[in-house]
Amino acid sequence: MEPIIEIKNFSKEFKIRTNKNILTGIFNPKYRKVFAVNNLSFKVYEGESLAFLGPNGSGKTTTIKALTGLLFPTAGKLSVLGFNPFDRNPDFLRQIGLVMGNRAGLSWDLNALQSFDLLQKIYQIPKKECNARILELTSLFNLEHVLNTPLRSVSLGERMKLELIGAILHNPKVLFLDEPTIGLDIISKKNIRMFLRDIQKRLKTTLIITSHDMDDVEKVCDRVVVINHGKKIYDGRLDTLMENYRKERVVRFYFENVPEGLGDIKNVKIEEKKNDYISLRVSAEQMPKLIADITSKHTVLDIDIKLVPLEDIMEDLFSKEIK
Amino acid sequence: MKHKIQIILANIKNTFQHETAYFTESWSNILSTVFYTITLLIFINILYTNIDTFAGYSKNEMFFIVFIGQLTFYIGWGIFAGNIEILSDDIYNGTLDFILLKPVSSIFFVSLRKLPIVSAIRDGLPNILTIVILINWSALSLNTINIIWGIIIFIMGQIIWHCIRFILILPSFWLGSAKQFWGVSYELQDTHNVPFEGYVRGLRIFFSTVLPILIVNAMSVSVMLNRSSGMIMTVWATLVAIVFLIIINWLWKISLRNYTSATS
Repeated sequence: MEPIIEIKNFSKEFKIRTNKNILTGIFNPKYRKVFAVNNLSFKVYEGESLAFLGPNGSGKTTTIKALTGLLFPTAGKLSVLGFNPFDRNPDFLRQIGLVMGNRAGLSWDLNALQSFDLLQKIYQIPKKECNARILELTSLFNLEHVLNTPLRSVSLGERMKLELIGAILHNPKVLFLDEPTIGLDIISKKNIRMFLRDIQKRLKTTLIITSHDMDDVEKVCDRVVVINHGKKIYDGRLDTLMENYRKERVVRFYFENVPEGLGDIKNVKIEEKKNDYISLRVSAEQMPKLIADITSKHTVLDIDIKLVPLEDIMEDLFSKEIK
Repeated sequence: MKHKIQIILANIKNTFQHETAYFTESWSNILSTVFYTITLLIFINILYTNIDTFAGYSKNEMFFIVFIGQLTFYIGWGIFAGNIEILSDDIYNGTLDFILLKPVSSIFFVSLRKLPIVSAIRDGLPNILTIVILINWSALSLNTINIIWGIIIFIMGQIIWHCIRFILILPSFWLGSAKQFWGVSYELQDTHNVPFEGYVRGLRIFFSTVLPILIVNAMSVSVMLNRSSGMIMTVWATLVAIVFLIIINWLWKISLRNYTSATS
């Protein structure tokens, strides 16, 4: 199977001006080079749902912007749907969509219907088909009541959903989402995640998502690429990644008052400690013995056993040295 | 082409919807434009109390220059220039991203996304009608052919002015914001009210080639009033417009390579 997106040795370097002197800065400008992305390579196949993760400043957004043709790569080769993104061929642009969680792509002063009307003309979507799609999507998101309201007057959650509709009105084959659920309430997040999963399964839309919300990743994505300092540190299936960390458990013991010395057990790591509970990370094999030891020596009020949360897995990955 | 016309019509409609959403806020514009026109007309009246002609132009012909100058302003500045001005903000805050993602020529969409025709008519009509009434049309040596040449030169001049404004805003890609450069073009428009023949030969050539700001108004009026050869000037204006279109397309591509897309 041919990949739908191919990134080969992609690097993006930004020049930051260091000499800001009003006179010498003009005649002798000096720059510091910063690599936002450094020699990144990976492939994405049709219908995949990929989480592109990393801490702030790791190069996620830069990569997404290069893949959508907004940024010119310093080095390397990018191919999306067989096109060089930076050529911004209209046939390419008609097949992609981009949602940026903290930016308004739709006109702030117009209502959604007026903005969708312009998108219908730009993307040359047959009028009837476009109207049917607007109807379908707005009823799915319960947005019929805000269609005639200027975008500046609708709530953040409603605006995000309208942005999403605007980005997929033309049925893109590849949808890039940069923090699509940022600032949304739980119900809106859930709706958007369910919707994304649905279009990925039903329409085979390829999804590339960056998010700091690990629930987005768990609910929507099958595969994870993790980058840090512009370099790839993990590329694999989400369930495999979780499985690797499932060899460990986080056990929380509740007490009247947490006894002294509980953190000193060999091969056990304290995750969290408060007055009335302590969370210990331990290997799955060692867990029964740990529980038996503690319950036999102390009065335990309750025990809570959890798998290592994805946030912790990411934290662990981000903190690893890049090899 | 059909697709582009559809987009232009949609942009006009969208701009109209935007204009009507803030209609009452923009009425103050009329005051400043009316005041400017009245001041200019008073100045011309004072000037012609002591002289019969200025650079070979009678008072009536000067009113005609002002008439074309006002058309230049309301078409060029009233309708098209706003697109260039907001481009600087779009580059600065990264909203250019959403324009670049649209499957149409980005330079075309950036140039014509807002077409505030209603505002331009609302602001310009009182002034233009006043000047139209002041002109003794039968005393002007106008003929159909020269008017056609003049209109073509006027259109080419508008294209050239658009390109000049465009070039002046492009440093925003490197500097983040370049509205001060763009402001220079606003000052250059004062050349609209001086006859083509009022400039010495060297300046006429300079302002018709290197910095072709005289084409839209001074040259088109000179041709309409039969002071310059219509055909030669039309060919010249067209060639300059083509060269400037090539230049801005080339500069736009270079600029986009340097676009850093302000991040979230």
